[in-house]
Amino acid sequence: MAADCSKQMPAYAALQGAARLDRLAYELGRTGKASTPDAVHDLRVAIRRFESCLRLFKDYFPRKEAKKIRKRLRDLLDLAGRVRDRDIALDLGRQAGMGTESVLLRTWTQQRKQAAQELTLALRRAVKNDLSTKWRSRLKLVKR
Amino acid sequence: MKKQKHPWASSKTAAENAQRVLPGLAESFFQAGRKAAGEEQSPKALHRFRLEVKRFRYYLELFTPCYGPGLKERLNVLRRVQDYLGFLSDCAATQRMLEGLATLPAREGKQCSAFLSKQSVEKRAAFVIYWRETCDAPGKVEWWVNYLEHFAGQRRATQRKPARRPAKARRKASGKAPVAAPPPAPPASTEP
Repeated sequence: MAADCSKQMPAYAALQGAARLDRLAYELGRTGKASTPDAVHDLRVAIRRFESCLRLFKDYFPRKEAKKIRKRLRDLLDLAGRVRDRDIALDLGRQAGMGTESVLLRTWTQQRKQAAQELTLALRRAVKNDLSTKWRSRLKLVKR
Repeated sequence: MKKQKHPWASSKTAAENAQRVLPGLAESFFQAGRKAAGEEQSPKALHRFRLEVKRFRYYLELFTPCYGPGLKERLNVLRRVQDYLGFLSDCAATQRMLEGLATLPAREGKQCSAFLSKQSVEKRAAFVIYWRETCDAPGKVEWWVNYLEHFAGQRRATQRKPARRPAKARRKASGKAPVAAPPPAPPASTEP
């Protein structure tokens, strides 16, 4: 990767975009299989990194396509965010001294389960539709 | 940190662009941080700064290939700031979720709420101390700006090993039998 910095900006942006999309594709599949707290966290990070790349290097990606993809990313981020919020709340609730029998933790556990189901559904659909390959082609990114 | 346009020079290399654009982002980061850790310290200001730190970090990470280990050191500072601010945001989000629950034993609600408030106060104080004494200590702005301005594109130069002839050719020239290769020397680095 060190040699990448001597590339001109359009090529550099495409390389960075491809790297982040690769990572996102991996996290979509991983979290679609098991939405553990760590997997959901990593998915959110991968989405944000890819989104940042699209935003910072927007001059080098097709505008309309990038906009549509960012909208789709935000939707996935929202779904993942609902799960993540519950994970955090459960963690803080335990730190606050709540036991497993507490109404609060049981409520959040139930909410988490529901949010995770919705997220899993969306991710499996994304994987089935081969979203990352489509995005790669729309953004004119080369396979690394 | 205001939303900035990044006028990339397409004909220039990534390293040259990094040198040109990133120091300005670092300066904006300090301005926003001083505002957030200053007198105001309102949840809204801290939240805004958290988002800005996150954005700044992701932007820097996009230029990781252009810099050496010094960038990692700086990214660790941002990560630490994010940890403080992230925890504050987690407490606020959990508090909102708590308030959104219609039925909840009063004792549990109070216990959790009190914990969140206490943690928030402590973390906010810890953030302000970290910001003033470490992150924004005297000379830190220059530490960032000078690095981002002068060390882009040097990673390759500092880590490249001198070209060597193939082992077979070297043996032939010296007339020696093959020997085990010595351990590679650590890469020289002049980064601050």
